[in-house]
Amino acid sequence: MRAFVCVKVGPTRKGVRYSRSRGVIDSTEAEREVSLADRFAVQLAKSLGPERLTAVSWAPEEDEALLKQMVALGADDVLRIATPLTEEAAHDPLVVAWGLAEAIRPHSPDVVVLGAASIEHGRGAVGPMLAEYLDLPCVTQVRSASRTDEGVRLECREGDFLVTIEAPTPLVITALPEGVTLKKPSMLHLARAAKAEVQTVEVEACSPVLRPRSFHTTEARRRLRERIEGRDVAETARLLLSRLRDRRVLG
Amino acid sequence: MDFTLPEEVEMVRRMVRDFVKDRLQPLADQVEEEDKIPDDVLQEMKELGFFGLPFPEEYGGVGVGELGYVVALEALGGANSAYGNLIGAHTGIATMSIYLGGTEEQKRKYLPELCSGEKIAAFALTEPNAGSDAAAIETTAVRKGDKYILNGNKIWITNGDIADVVIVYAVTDKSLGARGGVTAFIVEKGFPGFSVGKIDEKMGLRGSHTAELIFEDCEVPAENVLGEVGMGFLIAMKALDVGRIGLAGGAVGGAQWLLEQCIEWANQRVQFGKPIAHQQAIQWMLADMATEIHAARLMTYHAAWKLDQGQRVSREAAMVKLFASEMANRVADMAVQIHGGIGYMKEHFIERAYRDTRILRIYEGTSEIQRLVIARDLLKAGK
Amino acid sequence: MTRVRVNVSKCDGCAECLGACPFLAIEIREGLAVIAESCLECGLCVPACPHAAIEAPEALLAGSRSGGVWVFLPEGDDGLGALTPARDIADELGRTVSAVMTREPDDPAPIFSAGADEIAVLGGSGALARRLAAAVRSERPAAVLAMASPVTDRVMARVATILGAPYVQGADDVEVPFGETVIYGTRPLFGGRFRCTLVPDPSRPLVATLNPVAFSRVRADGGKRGKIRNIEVDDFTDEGLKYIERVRSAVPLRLEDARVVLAGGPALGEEGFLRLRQLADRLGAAVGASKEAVEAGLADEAEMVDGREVSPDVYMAFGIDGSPAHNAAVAGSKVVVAVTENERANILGSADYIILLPPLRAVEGLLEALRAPGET
Repeated sequence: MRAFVCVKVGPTRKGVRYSRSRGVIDSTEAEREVSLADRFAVQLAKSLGPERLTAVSWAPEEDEALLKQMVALGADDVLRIATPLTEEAAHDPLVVAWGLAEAIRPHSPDVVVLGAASIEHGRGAVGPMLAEYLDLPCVTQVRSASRTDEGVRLECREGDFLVTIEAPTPLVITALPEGVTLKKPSMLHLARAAKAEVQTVEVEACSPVLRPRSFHTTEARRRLRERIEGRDVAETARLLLSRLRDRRVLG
Repeated sequence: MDFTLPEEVEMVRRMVRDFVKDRLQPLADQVEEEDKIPDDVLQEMKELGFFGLPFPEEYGGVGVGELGYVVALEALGGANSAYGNLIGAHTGIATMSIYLGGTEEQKRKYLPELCSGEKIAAFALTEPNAGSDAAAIETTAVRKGDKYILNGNKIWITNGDIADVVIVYAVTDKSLGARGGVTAFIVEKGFPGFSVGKIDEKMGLRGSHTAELIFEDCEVPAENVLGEVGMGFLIAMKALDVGRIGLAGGAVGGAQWLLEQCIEWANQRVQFGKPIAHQQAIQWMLADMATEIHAARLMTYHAAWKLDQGQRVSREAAMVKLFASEMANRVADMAVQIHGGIGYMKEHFIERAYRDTRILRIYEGTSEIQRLVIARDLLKAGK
Repeated sequence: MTRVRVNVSKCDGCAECLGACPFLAIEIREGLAVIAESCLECGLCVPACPHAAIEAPEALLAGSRSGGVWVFLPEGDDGLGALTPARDIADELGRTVSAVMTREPDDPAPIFSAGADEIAVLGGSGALARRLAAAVRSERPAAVLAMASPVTDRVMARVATILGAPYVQGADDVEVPFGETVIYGTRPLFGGRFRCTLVPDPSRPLVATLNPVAFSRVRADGGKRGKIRNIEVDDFTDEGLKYIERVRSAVPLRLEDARVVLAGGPALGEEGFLRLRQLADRLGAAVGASKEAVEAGLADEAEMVDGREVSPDVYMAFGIDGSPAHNAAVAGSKVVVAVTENERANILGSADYIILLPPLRAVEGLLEALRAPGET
């Protein structure tokens, strides 16, 4: 089984700031990381026991050190798309999916795994889009996976339900880390991974059809800080409920 | 001059820093109260490779050298000092003694188990009458057939209560004095005649234990002579050199953490209508702290780098230990002052850091000894 | 087979069209422009050619602006809320709203009163995304919207890809700004701390899934009626996925999808959590927990709030001090209620309502206050 896992390097949430003067999100001070969901995706891909697992990422050269850590998490090698990706273009999942497809298609993948929630977008749009470009089926929000004779058996979340799906390979999976503990790689593996080689590939990018127009911060949301005090428990409860109903947030 | 740290060293730093934040900091109060590091945390640290950082992969180590080891100890600065202390004694001086002075068979026998943490090591040199005057040790080792019989006791030995392997320094030939008359032995728990005495109650460093080790006609096989007979003092001095650099790293990390706590406090604590961070007195203290930490960090990294290059570092090791430990104490003192009343209260963690930091100027060679070492080297070298 | 063709008698191989094609579907072979199979029929090359050598049917070039607003309502999903913004947009642009479904509904009345002008039943069989994309291609609506759900998340992304269309997933706002004719979509970034407004390429339909929490209001223009028609579409092969089993998850409501979240910290205690779950049941809320509470074994890891994006209408924290990670996770909530005995708890600075009471008693108080008269 030839497997690929697509990981995204992005800023840690803590270090991202909103620049009021420019009206943009400034992530230059933030440390970079590979999200929990993407790291789980590596673990899930590895759990299928592929002969070779390659971690793919569309990232600048500065992020190579972080990508090498995927080797410590179970990948056999790393492939980096070296074509420049502007921050603007990165907002269009179509562009990202197209690029990943161009990089992966020549290798005839059996399984491609992505993390269900990348740091910025939150719901994993790239997976199904990548699947469409590769003309493969896609199963989303996969919590665990195992191999069967005909393909794979996947346990997924669908809203309030957990569903079990059997799917043929090749296919695309988006992995959802739910109630899992990621195995921490030992420092020995990290030290070895630091010496891993990163292969690069250039792709012909397509132009974005969706562009960011403006950014807003919700952080300045002024909280009321209204104290409900000086009353007994029963009255406090009633008062709180009535406040919430007045604001139409509780039925 | 490229000052960037190698990738694998940065990886170690990140991993330890995240581990401290996620795993160790939440347990800080518990470790302090119970005077114990939880078993599952210790086990996790072993699995992650904390115990064999500087040693080459071929002996079961992680292979990131002294620099990687120093950076790890620095990153541990945000947690209780117990962790850095346990590892510092185990890796920095005890296992290091075997690595620096052992025969190839001894290295292959002991290093893998010590690097994985399966066995814990301790470094036993200090005695009731031999502290700074290490040459005055009185524990004797007498050859009897294919064994050595050890008699004496060692005190204040870190990891003494949990060690499986202890490097014991004993006198084999009194007439030769320190150089040639002292031999290092690898004593294993369970050797007849070896027992652990009282466990000390210390001012700080809760979670890390020091204990008395008693040798009463303790039988040690002759093949457990570390290296060669008479090489003991040399091995001890070399191991202490290396240990000092690691210790300095830990001091820098602890001081850095204190600095960050002070900045946070100064921004929050409002007196006279504004945060105390607006007061020049506080600002100057923070500036001094940061400057000294920066200096200590760079000299420590440099010493570690020199060591990894195979260069002689006795002078630098003494300098960094001296400077970093005294700096850490100054920083701890300023940290209490900046925090004011709450810096003295047990409900906050600053007073713990103040107590924990005091020992840095004393163990692994007092500041006075370090000055002697530096001076002697200066006078000999002329510069 | 693409309907865009090069008139070889007019083409001189100047390659102006190459630059205009966003999908690199044109190449010059032997001095003439050749349009590849990967052409997505966007029509951008047509005006780019200085010799008018590229031709496409009129319907293709009508552009997306003349189309209506489609709302895809998959079977079994409760997506009527998506008709609300669709109606607003259609009214602004002077277009119609079509509710696209996979079969004729038993009771079409609520769909019309929620804002639809017509119900269009999608024909064909097999892969849903392919069928929907084919329908969009032939009728060229201005936008295709759907409420975000496990089904639509998959299908809509593929539809957008097939069409080369701009795709906004989990939008919390879609609107036509004053004076514009283009539909903007806004979605959250970094766990709801920020939002980004995106503008689509006007030559393509906007494909978007909507965050149910933001679009919960369903219109009720009672008495409104419309027509029901069919959309002819080919059959496509299926994906080949076999559903083996479907069980209700022990952790029922995902924090991210809930409109009300009740969360507990270690100070709530075991009994407190029991009561909290009762209260959550009562309110139809999801149960969350701080990292400390999860570590203390009071709640499941799947209920941990820290590190996620939890932005419900109401977030109530019982006995939570509010670590930075926790507070960042819930910063996007509309209303935050903090119930704690700790006067110096971090969370107090970011709460709308502060109640300094023992958390367990507060939970019990709320349960009591919600009890209908006569209930025990």
